[in-house]
Amino acid sequence: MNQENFIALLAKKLNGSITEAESAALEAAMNSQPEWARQAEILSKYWQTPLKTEVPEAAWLAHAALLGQQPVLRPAWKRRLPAIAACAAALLGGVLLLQHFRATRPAEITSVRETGPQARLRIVLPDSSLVMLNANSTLQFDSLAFVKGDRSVSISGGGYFDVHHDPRHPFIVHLPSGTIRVLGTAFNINDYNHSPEADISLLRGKITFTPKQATKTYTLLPGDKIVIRQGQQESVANAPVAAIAIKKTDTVAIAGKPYVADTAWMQDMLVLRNNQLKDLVPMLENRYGVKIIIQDEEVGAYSYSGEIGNNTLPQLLLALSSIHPFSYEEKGGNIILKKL
Amino acid sequence: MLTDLEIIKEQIGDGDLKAYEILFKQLYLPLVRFSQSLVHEKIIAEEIAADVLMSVWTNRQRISAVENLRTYLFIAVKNNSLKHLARTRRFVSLEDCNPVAQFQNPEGQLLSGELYRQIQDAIQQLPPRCKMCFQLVKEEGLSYKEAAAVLDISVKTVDAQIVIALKKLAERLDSLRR
Repeated sequence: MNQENFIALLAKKLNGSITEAESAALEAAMNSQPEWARQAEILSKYWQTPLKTEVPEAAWLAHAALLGQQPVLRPAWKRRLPAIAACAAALLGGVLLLQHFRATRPAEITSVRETGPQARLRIVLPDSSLVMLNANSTLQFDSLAFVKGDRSVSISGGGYFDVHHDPRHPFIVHLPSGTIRVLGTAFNINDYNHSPEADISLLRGKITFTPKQATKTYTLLPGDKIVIRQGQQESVANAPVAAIAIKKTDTVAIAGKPYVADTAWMQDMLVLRNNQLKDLVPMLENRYGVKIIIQDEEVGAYSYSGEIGNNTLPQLLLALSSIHPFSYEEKGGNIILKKL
Repeated sequence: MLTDLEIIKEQIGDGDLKAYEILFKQLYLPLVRFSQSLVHEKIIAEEIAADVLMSVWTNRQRISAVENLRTYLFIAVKNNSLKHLARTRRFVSLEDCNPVAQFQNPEGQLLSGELYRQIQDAIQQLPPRCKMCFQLVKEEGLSYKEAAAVLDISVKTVDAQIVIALKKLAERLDSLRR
């Protein structure tokens, strides 16, 4: 056993997670190395020396005297403690360590949020902008820079942004296929690395988009959707240039309520009333971050009524196929639906 | 040792002031210490810790929604300490960061004064993240999982940092012997 292993075992012993076999190994190591035994004894004793936690009675009485009083002249942030703790906990999380490492390891400043195949994540950025991160997506930002007013994030995958209005500090989103500049708006992004097509839909406000390797900047107004298709043309320098098209966002009527198809993935609960499966596909693709291919028209015409809650994709497919039978399989990241 | 915070949480939810007193007496100083290692001002740290604890009492009807009360309090103290720093534009720098050692008030001595001082000094030399993990786990008795949640890092990282800390301490003990 080397010293590294010995220390690792000692750490386990101190935090109480040591197994019997490991304990025996630790004993044996200490018997063979008297110096280790000495160190283990001192460190164990040190570990067991607690810091004082006893609060003087006077401090408690002073505190208790203030209980039940409405705080006077307390800044708003103090009155919203529970909300702050709940919302910001995860998000400001990195800041502390990030600040520490700023001087030595700039690479560690970035906060990274990632979602798995069936997860969505609600993220409040330090400037109180909201991001709903879709499945299979990654969001990166520098918490410290945010606090200082440099609002810039990188995203790969899908996300809905509701950006806090702050004209003095532009909000910049870096995508695999370009860069978005905003002031205060709400918009939706679909830009997965594995997909050749990306799109951005604007719900309100105004944003500009500059595609990668392009000098032209596109301005989007509410209801606009920009679609970027990679590698459609060859430029002079032989680098693939994206084909850009500006369209209108699609709305789907689900149970008589209009939803913007591009953002319906965010709804926790969708009520279906005689909706055909093929009409639901774009929403489901967004919601679960997959591509869905319906091979038989008949399957696409199946109509459903009911509720889609927070189900995983396999749960949902199982439920849908038990109402109207169809088979489904995954092939290269695509879900293929076939007639039975 | 902490008595069962789960029970205390339920009792506070029922409006039991005695339970809140136990919570306050157990966690006030650890929270002050934690805040102080970030804001470096005892008075501010005391205010932040007291405010966070008081919010537990003020919002006791909703306290049952909190999963781990201790982690919740440490995270709230961290966030408010960082907010304070952001407002005063005083950021934690490597030189400033001084967790653990300004609190040399152990309860009862198992080690000789000199040995204890040497270990404290070695802790001072630890990198900040390592020191912060050590403070939460050893000094304030948080589990690895709780410390990981408070610092927003993985349990694995906490584990690794504690091992690094112990290694540095063992090295110090080694050098003392020579």
